[in-house]
Amino acid sequence: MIRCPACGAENLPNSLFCEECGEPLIHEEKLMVKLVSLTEGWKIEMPLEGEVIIGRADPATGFKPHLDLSDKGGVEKGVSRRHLRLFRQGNKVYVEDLGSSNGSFINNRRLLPFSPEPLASGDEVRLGGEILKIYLEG
Amino acid sequence: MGEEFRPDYYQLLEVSPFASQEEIESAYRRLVKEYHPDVLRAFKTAFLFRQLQEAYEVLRDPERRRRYDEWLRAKGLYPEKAFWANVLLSQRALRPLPEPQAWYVLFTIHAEKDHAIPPKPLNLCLVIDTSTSMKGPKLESALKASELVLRNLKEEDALALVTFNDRATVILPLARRHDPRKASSLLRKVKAEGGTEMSYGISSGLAELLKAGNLWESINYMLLLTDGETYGDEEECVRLAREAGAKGISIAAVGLGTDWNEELMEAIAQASGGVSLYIPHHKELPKTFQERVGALMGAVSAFKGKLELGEGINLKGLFRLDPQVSRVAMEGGTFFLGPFSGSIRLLAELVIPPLPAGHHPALRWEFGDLKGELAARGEVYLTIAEGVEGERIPKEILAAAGQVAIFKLREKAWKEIRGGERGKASQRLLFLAKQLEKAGEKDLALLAKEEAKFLPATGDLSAEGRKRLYYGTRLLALKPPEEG
Repeated sequence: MIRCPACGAENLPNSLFCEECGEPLIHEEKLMVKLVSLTEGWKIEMPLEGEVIIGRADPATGFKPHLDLSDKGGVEKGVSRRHLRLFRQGNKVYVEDLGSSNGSFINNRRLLPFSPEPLASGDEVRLGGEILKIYLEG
Repeated sequence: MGEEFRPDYYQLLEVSPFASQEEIESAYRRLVKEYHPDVLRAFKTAFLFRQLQEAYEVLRDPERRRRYDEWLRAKGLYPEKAFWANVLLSQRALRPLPEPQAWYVLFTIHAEKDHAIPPKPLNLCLVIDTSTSMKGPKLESALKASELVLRNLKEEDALALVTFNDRATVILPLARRHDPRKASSLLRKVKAEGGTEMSYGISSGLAELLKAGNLWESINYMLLLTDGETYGDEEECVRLAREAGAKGISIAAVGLGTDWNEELMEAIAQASGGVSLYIPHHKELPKTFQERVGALMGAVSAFKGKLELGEGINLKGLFRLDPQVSRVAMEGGTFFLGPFSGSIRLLAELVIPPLPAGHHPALRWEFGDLKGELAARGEVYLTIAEGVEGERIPKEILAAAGQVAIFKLREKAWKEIRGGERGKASQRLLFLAKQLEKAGEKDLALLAKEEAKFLPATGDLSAEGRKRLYYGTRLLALKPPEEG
């Protein structure tokens, strides 16, 4: 069951509107996140609906992050397999270091591992030696 | 249900089998952007992308498309006639869950644009309430509206007029080309007196319409007008309406003023594949009658539909969205849709039981005329797969489900009022007000709030508020879906 954020009623998973109060149960507006690598020059755009994990794929365990930096110089730059995640909660987007070896920084300030901080469009986020500029587009 | 799974390529590309190469091309381009593995963040959904590619590979190649169409034809799933129902799913794949989950299917029944089916002549009966309460300007307007309808019919159209109070009277027996002067003088003699026994009116109206003989060759329609409540024969009215529907006769149940039973009028409409309408003031009658009849002019046939569910799959509700939101009355999986013209959207809300990964037959559908000459049918499979998430919900489904959500809130409030649950009903109206406000319906939202305020004390809605909310909340559907 899923709980309606407005009235607390329980609804079947994947319900689109609350049976009790008619409130929408899914994010209607899509949020796009654009990542620009300041060190490598690549750009990528993806929707942010739940979370986006940034890191490196691990063939041994079958783990694949949503954004895989393996072939984008991730190893050389000290990017961990599970390095950082972006996620959406309500209307806000947060960034969280996932206990990476070389740490994460937001606008040159170190992120404490596993303590999410709000992210604003245009913030600079560093994963080890990789610097990303992150834009949010509604 | 189907023996082997083969994806429905047209459904995958969200086009109909009539789609041109250009339409297929542009549908693929649009969808491929959404389902590309780089975009769809869930990393196990690559198969959705591969399915799209497969569909495109087959349908872009005229020879492969022809062979695929042959295969559909052999299964009886290719439209031989000029209409089709496009099928849109809320999600192309669901995760296996240990508990039931919701799934939505939107049908858009539409005629192929380049293959117009010739419209049929009208077989029309006006059934007018002449109880005492209709006396004066109301009856005058109703008769004026009837005369207008008569004068605007085409030569091949047939018309009858029946009045009812404690009994039914045939004023104009079913005929083509009534003499307008003679008809006028007959109408002028109609008086209003006595009670309201609606089933007599419906029954007599049906008898007139059945005189047409071959109902398959015409569009058969009853315009039923009342301003009051019928007593004791409600069930008989609905039974007659269903009988009418089965014969290809639909009923537009029109209520004038505020003293009639909207739930009965809606039940009559749904049982026969018609519509129910609320006319606050008698001055609007001529316009309403004209519009109703005008809407029938291009109709091709009375349509029906049939849904068959896969094992373990439950239909929570089936809703019609055009011309207004209504809950479709189904009997044994079959329902009547009335005269078909333009397009009709239907939203099926399904409950999916816990199922293992794989492709499961979910729904078999069929739409067509009552005669069985025009028919389109198809199968909908449900894909259950691990790790699928982040799929976009098509905006057409969100719009339809949003309208249905408002309709259901109103429906629940009525049920609670009937059951004497004042507090619950009042709260429900406040929920309704909030959603109406969000939908930009400020006046209706205010009305719902006002009614919610008085409901705990009075236990009922005001007569006018009742009608305005009942009909106002369903007509939101008249707004065209957002562009984009």
